[in-house]
Amino acid sequence: MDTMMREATRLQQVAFALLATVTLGWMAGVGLGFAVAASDNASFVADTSAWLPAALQGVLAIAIIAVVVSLLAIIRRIRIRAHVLSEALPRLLQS
Amino acid sequence: MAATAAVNSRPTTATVGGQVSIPREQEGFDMPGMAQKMWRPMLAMGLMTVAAGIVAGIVQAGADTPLRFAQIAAWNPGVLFLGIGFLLSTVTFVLAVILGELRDGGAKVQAALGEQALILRRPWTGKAFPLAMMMGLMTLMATFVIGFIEAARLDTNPSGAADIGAWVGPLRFAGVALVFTAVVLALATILRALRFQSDRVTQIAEQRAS
Repeated sequence: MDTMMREATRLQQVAFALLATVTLGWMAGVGLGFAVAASDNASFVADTSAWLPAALQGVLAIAIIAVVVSLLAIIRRIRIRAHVLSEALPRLLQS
Repeated sequence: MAATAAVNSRPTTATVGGQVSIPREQEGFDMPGMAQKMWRPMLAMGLMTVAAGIVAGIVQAGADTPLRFAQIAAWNPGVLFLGIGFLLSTVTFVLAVILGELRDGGAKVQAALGEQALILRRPWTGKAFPLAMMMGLMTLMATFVIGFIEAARLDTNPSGAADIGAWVGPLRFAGVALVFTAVVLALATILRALRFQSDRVTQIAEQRAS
């Protein structure tokens, strides 16, 4: 039970760390988008326009992984809940 | 909320809070069990595919000819969308694992109370979400292949390639929309499972009180 609680807490922390990465990623992406729009350098515009959408899809992928990690934390919490209820409910109904 | 049992050729069913339930041991195909085995490979495939798409974007930025640049631009979105599709399918599988945990946890609580372990009979949303996910993934795999066909035609038949590019983009979004539909249907099934659990606990408490 303690192991499961620690796992759930760790997974929640990982999800928040991933969310911080996602936030930094889309902010950098938007900033680069504005930089491309304002730039007169043709090669910078062409190069950045080629890799930026792909990199932003990577940011999207990290966001989806954060969802997966949060769901894994929920699984641990559901297991803990089932264990606690199966221990406590019979005693509550008997009293 | 009295349990009404009907015995016929199908599994014995009982009604709990207006929802049809079956005994735990009479459940057929174990979708959560399969999802438990599948979510890790799906996550790995998604990560590898998205990483390949990012590398291809960097290669595209350094392409030496306009034709090579256009060819990578034709197939790379298909790679990235397929990667996102794999990752969203991972979400769907993990939601199926959650359904399994709710089912097994609910059965454990009922057994601890000395009652028959009843589970929710799989609702239509539970049957539809794996199908929606598979349809979405197949659409994304098809657009992945079509992207390469489009890239190959850029050299010999540019107008044909432009025609393909016009419809394959929306088709990619349709594939992702189908996988999102699967996620929503799985969440709707979880909502029904949670409602069933609270109804079942209430039913047991009322039976004990009367």
